Amino acid sequence: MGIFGEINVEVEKSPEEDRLSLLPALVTIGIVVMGVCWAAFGIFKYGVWVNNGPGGGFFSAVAGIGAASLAAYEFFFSPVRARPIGGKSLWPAGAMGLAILSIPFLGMVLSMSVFILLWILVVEKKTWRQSILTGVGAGVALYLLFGLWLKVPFPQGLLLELLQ
Amino acid sequence: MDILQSLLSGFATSLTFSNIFAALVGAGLGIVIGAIPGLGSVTGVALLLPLTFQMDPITGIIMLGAVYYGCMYGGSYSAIMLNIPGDAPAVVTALDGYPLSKNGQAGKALFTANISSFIGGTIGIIMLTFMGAALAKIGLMFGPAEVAALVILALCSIGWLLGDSPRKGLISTFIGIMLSMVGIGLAFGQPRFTFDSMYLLNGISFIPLVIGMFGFSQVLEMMVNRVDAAGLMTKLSLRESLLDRSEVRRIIPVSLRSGVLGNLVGILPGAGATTGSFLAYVLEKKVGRHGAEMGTGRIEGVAASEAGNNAAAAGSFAPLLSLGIPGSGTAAVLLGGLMMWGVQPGPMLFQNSPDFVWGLISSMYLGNVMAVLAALAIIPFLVKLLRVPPAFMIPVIAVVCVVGSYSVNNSMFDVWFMLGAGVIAFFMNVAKYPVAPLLLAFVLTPRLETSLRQALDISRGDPSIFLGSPIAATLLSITLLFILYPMISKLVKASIKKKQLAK
Repeated sequence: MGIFGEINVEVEKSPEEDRLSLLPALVTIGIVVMGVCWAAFGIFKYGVWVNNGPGGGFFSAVAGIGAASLAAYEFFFSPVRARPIGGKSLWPAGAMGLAILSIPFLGMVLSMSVFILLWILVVEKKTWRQSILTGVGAGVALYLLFGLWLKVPFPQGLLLELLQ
Repeated sequence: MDILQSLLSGFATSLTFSNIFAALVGAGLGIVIGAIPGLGSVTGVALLLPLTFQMDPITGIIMLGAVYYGCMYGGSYSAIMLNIPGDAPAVVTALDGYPLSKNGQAGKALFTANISSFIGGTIGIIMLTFMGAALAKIGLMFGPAEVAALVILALCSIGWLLGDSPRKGLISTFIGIMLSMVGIGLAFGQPRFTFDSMYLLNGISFIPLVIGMFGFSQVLEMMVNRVDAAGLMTKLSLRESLLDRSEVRRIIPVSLRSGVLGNLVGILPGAGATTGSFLAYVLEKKVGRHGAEMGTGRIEGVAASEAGNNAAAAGSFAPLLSLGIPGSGTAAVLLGGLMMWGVQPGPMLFQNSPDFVWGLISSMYLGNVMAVLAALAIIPFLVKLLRVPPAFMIPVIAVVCVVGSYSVNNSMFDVWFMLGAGVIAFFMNVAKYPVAPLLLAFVLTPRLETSLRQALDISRGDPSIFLGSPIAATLLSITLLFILYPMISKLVKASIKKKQLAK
């Protein structure tokens, strides 16, 4: 297959596939936008060729133009292929986002322990015993490995400061 | 003969109970540190350097050497088992290692990684022993033009390497180049694409990016394919993990080829283990019997990457010892250790401190043996670890990703960045854009930018500098061949078909 591959004929898709094919299309549009921005900044702001050599914008311009043009080709001429991903796939990102937000209050170790505990209990619907054992075990392991041995300065959190 | 005698005297110095024990402890610690995402060999050696202050210099350097080797072994574990490369060179290992793991062959992938790491490391140390000084001189022949040509060769191989669609591979490569532009440019000192954020002034941190794009996106993927994941876990057993004779025969020639190439790349200043493992993988993909299937879960892919990586690690010692120039970040930390013990690496080192140098070289043999023994011993435990059901794996891996990305710079910005990179990589996977070319381009481009600028500064903008140097010209010719080969072979095949039809 060459760089531009073969152009496939669009096949009939189910409504579910139609809905899902929006995501790859959005990803491709995002790449086009990013490529155009990088190319524009590279050419007009940082300079493509400066003092007999590549300027600060040379690689941005080359890569930006390359990415934008190939992604545009992809968008218009290549069939959008999608696979079912389900609504739950982004749950870990959302839940972890909340856990990270709680770090200034609970500290890194406690936030991560609570995240594991609640995930196993609420999302995975395991028993309290399993959830607590895993959450606490992971917290202790994190503290021993990173906090004590490797001396990583984890955020302590307001809660610990108040208790102290 | 002199070299052999010196090496034997080095072994006489290094083979004591305390040194062997130090090597074993160092190898074990190195494997653990290397396997933790976010902590590579630089961190491992830097963390343990202060511990060796109180030791005898020979024992200290033996321990650090073993830590270095242990880290190189451990880096592949999280790449193979969790699709989270422990360090940059392990990105290439993940390409075949994780698919093998998904097919229920994690044990085979781990054995392959260990055995080929050992072979690659041994090749590197043997070459260092007998040709250290000569190798370092070859390394010095690589100026900016030659390094630029080498990186261009590596970059041009990426797009053709991965994914169902070479076009999408190329797009991914371009995204990697664009992301590598973020931060203060080395050539001009101007901030680029920082969006006025002080966190981006130093550029995008590689480890949070790689943890997000490989590791966290994998967590999201496990939510989708959790039934498959649960099914494959039950297939694992230690007996099924062992390599049979035909598999050993498959990986040995690959490891030997990759070891020699990786070692030669490792001696180049600044080229590093990532370029070594990547070029070894590309070579295997081009010349290997099963090259076309690499990337889908072939032990040859794991063997090429790991042998190249470990041989390059040993290669980086050649310029360090012979010229006092560290060939990698870890070698730079070790240089600090050597100077701390009052040893000045450079051309006179072999004359002034023969005991120390040969003790160090012999300790590398010792460290490599200890690391492979420790690595093989823990495979049964790792295999058991993979049996943990996804219900527990998902939150635990997510937490490992957060902690790993935080511990690189102790920055919450890196944690958020990792999370965002994970979600974007997941969307890219859904849209079938391969992520690995992005990461490899991200690592290689800054080196290309600096070398290209330096080369053209030297020649005052005259591009003939790339043709005037035989090394650069050869590398660029190979690049051109790489690019044109698919088109030429297509044309040749078409003309043969036409002739056959005409007959």
